[in-house]
Amino acid sequence: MAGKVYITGIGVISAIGKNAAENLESLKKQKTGIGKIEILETKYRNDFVAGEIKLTNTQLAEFLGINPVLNLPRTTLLAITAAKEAILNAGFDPQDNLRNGFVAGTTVGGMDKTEKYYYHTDQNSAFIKSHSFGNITEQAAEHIGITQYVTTLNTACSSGANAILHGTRLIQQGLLDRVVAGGFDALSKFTLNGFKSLFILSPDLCTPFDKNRKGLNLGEGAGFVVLESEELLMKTGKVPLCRLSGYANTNDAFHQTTSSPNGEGAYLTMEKAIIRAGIKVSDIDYINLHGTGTDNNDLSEGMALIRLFGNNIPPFSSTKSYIGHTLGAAGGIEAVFSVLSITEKLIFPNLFFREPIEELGFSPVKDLISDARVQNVLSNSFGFGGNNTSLIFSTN
Amino acid sequence: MNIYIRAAQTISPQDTFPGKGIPENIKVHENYLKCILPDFKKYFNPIQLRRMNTLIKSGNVCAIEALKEAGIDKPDAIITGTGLGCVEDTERFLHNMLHTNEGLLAPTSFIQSHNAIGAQIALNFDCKGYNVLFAHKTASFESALLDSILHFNDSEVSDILVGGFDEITLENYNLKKGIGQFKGIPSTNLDIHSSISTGSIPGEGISFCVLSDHPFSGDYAILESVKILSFCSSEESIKEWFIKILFNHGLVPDNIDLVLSGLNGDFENDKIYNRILNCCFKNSGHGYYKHLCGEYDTATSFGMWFACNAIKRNHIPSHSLLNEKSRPLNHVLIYNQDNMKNHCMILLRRPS
Amino acid sequence: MIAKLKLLIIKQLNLEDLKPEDIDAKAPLFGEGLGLDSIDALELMVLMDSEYGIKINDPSEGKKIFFSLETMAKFIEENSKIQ
Repeated sequence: MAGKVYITGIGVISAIGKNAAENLESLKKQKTGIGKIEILETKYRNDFVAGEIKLTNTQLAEFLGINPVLNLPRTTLLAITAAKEAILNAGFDPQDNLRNGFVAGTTVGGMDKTEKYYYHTDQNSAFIKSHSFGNITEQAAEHIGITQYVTTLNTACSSGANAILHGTRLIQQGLLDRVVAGGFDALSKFTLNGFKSLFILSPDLCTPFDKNRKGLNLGEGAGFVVLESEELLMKTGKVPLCRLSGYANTNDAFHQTTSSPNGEGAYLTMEKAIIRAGIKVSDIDYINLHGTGTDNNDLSEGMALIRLFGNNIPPFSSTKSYIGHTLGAAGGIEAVFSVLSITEKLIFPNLFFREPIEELGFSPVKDLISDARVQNVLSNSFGFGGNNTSLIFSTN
Repeated sequence: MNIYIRAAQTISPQDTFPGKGIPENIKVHENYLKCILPDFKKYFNPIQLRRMNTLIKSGNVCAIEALKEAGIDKPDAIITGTGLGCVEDTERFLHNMLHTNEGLLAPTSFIQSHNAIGAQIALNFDCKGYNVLFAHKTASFESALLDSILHFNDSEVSDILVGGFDEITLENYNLKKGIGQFKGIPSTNLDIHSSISTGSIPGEGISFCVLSDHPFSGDYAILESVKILSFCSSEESIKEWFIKILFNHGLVPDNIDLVLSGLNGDFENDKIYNRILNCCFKNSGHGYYKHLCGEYDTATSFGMWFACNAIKRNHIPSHSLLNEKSRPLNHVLIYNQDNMKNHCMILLRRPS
Repeated sequence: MIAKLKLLIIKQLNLEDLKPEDIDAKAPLFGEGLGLDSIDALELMVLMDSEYGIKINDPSEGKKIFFSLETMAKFIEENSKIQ
């Protein structure tokens, strides 16, 4: 019953580039975008590093041809930038007679404006309406011209991935022909201070899966994929980039913020996604980890890898060493990176890695692998509240 | 496959919890409606309660009663919707951060700002199944319902817990009153129907239902259809939308026994309901429910609870009726929109 | 000191339905006893700073300091800038 779902376009903006080509260049050059905080007005700009996009809101707006006077939230501008690129890449008109949808994940919403004007409503009260998660998605949908089905998910750090999962099912079950799906989030004082209060921010560049990891670096951005039905592709004759072949979401049910020591949730999710993709565990060629660089996540995710793959863990890396943890955007941006891994036959390295975690004893990919056999990529996104999502991207 | 509504519970600004029907007598609230909260100590000990704000406590207690009513130990999946999530905690963390100028901050109110209700339910019931939160304004609950249909179709699940919840704080009320989103003049929930001013009358609520893929005696209703149309400013197109949806279910508008509209007291926003109902559904019974719960992004979750109870008892109180048409309730349609965005429809049918 | 500490902990950790006599000063606070967890430890660090002006920069130090009310009281006496 379930037809295949293909990816026909990608769009991304992150600390390593304002479009897919720039992101790919940085990934290949093994050049991180994490560095000093320059744009976000925070007391801690000298204490923490982040994957900040070095474009002000004015510059983002001007790039999009939007009047900066509108003072749109940063999240909206990032979302429009990536979504527009994905649509252009897929080569379709959002206002055509087909059933198009826009599904996005976010955790921040319009908080960047809310925290700025909360005590200054006389200067700006637009944030009161624009604050809500759904409002940002709606603003972005209006700009890109998708009007039929628009929705937002918020499952913390797995939001973007769950948006892609939802979009895939809408197409598989014949409710929509096409969905632009992914996630977006901007840096904000609220999230920086929130993660600081949990003592999981690293003052230095993050080192995912490393023995001496000190925590995560926050990042920002947006990443979208265009999902299309097999039926539609047969009509248009378009050649897709790859296929969304598997997906799963489970709950760890262990603690509000920490993951279970044996990686139960992560293990169940990866296994279910692989089963749905109709492939074997040994068919996975590359894993794009959640890999935040925190004590807890990396150990838990690592244990899950051992439980699922045994001694045959495929090459894996966390691209958060390039862009930081982009929260609600992570699932979307990392989906784009997974697609690039397949189309460019590349396996991206885990930057700054030195020593394996003692309890695990294995290492991620340390250098870029070119001309790799990449037929199936597994991408993990795990959020607070035990929310675990895995997506599988496969060659056509 | 039919989807059966096995259980429906709501914590609301009326005496509805647990397991009570639609009240005949309305509790009057001034300016905004706050929930009548249950005694949380009956459900959790102090250690458990420490990590839960009011919304999380209410969500969990409501879920407990819904699962008890459905007679199941643990749902296969938990799918929820909220417009703004944990507003109280978001305000608390924001204030602390701004007041201390990013000083040393306590983490508890930060971690509740996310998908904590569904997560806490999963923790309490050790439910490792699919668990997501939709947060898209007035389409949040319908997105969750729609997702539950998708989940039934492609996963081997039997029972899904679906909920909608939002809270209102005095601070949030004042902010929105200041920009005209909420009514600026003193009013009560009884003013919703006869309002001639702009601004809605806000409220809050927590509603959970258990959906099942197999029937059981005592089921409230069958969830026939959920549809969302995100942007549409043409009334003609909305009428055609309804007719097309109903046609696909072998129905015409005259088959709908009761249409529950999202009248919320903002008379500009409310005009569309009267026009659509009087034109498209002129032979159906017309009713409304937000005078009981107030306006909030997931108020349709209360609306669905209302509709379920209406079908079960084949009766709605006169205070909720907008016209004189009284028919046996076999098909009930809930329609909500927000300034010609997020047109949402839920269609329920009496189980045979 | 212990009596005041009990009230402060009840407030900071939102244990509003617990009475001071429910907390045993010698019993472990974490794992067993009250069964507190890592988030509570972070809350207690904030309490140390806001009430007693004591800054704890590393959460891993918390394990020893917050073992029980007694160890907390001792730590405060040794480190407090405010009498």
